[in-house]
Amino acid sequence: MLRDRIDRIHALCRRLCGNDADAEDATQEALLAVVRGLPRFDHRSAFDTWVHRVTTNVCLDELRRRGRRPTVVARLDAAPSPADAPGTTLDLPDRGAPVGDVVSDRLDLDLALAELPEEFRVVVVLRDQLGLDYAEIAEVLDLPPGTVRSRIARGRGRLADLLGQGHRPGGNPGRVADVEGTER
Amino acid sequence: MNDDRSPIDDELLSAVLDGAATPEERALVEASPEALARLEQLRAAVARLAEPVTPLDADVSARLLARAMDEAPPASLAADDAAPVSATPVPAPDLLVGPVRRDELAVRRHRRRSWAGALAGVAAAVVLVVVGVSLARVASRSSSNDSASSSGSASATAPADGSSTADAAAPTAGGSAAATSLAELGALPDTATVLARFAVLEASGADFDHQFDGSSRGAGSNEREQATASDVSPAPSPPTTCPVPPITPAPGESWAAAAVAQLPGGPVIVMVDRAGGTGARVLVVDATTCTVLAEGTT
Repeated sequence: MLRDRIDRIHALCRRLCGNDADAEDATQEALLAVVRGLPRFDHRSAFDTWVHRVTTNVCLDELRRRGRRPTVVARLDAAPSPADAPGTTLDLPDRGAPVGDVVSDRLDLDLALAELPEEFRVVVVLRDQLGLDYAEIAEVLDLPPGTVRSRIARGRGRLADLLGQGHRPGGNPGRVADVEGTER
Repeated sequence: MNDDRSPIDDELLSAVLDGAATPEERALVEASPEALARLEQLRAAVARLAEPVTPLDADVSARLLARAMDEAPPASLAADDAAPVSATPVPAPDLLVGPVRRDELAVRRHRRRSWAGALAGVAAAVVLVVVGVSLARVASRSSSNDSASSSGSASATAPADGSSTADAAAPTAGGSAAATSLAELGALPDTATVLARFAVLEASGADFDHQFDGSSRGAGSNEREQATASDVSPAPSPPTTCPVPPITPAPGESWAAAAVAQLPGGPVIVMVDRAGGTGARVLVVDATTCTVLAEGTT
């Protein structure tokens, strides 16, 4: 049951946390929370909805506990290679672009997401990363569907603006930490 | 596109992206070059966000799953050790028996791959058998004491969605369904060996109860309890059926499924009642027929 869902849990955590290490930690915590919460899962919502709720809560709580926005971590020496273990490197889409550009793109996205207010970040990730519809998101977050729709629109708008500005470290409240190594 | 600059705002454009706009709204957008440009910006942002996250490596996944299963503390179903996490309002969960155990046991099936089919089925069916056997014993004594099962029966112990437990972590009055992992005694020749093996395990102090005391059985949960074990057993398991009528636990009774084992005749469950204070009563229960095969003490 969890095995079938761990990738989605991790994807949600990855987008909400902003880096692989935090995402892995949050995924672990989410799995534990699901296991611990199963006996009290009341079936008033779909199981996947409940898992998304648990995961979202855990990820946001992890961020709050650390008292910060998502921290974007880049390891430029961690360009894709078969030997690299996912979860410790940036996941880089193969679009034929130079590694540096792709890393920058990914940084842009992570940084832009990190700058989004939490209430916008969560809804756009649930909608556009996980593909939940408005009603599902409303149930996950216990919000009216109209609020969800509005937040998605505002979140997308902010995200588009941030990405359109060529988001870079230093020009935003999102943090870049541990930019290590050199590009190969 | 700001709301105060155009009647076509991001919310409308977002609705267009999601296919939620009306034909009239779409036409309005398509008639505006500015709106179309903004639409493309939003579409690009959505496309970026939709890029899949690299799945976890299989080894990492296995490690995370294993830890989730193995490091869930014995009292993990109680509220007081749950991580304080919060984000959204949470509907108060009920303390359920049947469906909840089904999910939990399904998780356990993943964990216990070393045990092929039969014991996995046992683990999946144990909840219903426990309830059924408890009922049988209770019914054999007295059916007059209904009040013991009602107090604290449907109390929520903690949010089930990982949300804040700071204000919702009140322990269940009168006890809780504190479930932990079941011990696996392995393939054994007979019930006497099962009892002996379990006694050794009990003496070691292992905490492995899957407890169902009277206080955890709530009024209103009868429909769930009437589910059959075939609902939760994997396909290879026999269609075990243990119909469970309303439960009336005797005061002080606290039977727990503690272990599973495989006898030549089929899987069995070891149940224990430690409520007596001096030692524990132990039953070996046929997981298929829900009958008591042997009884002992530790």
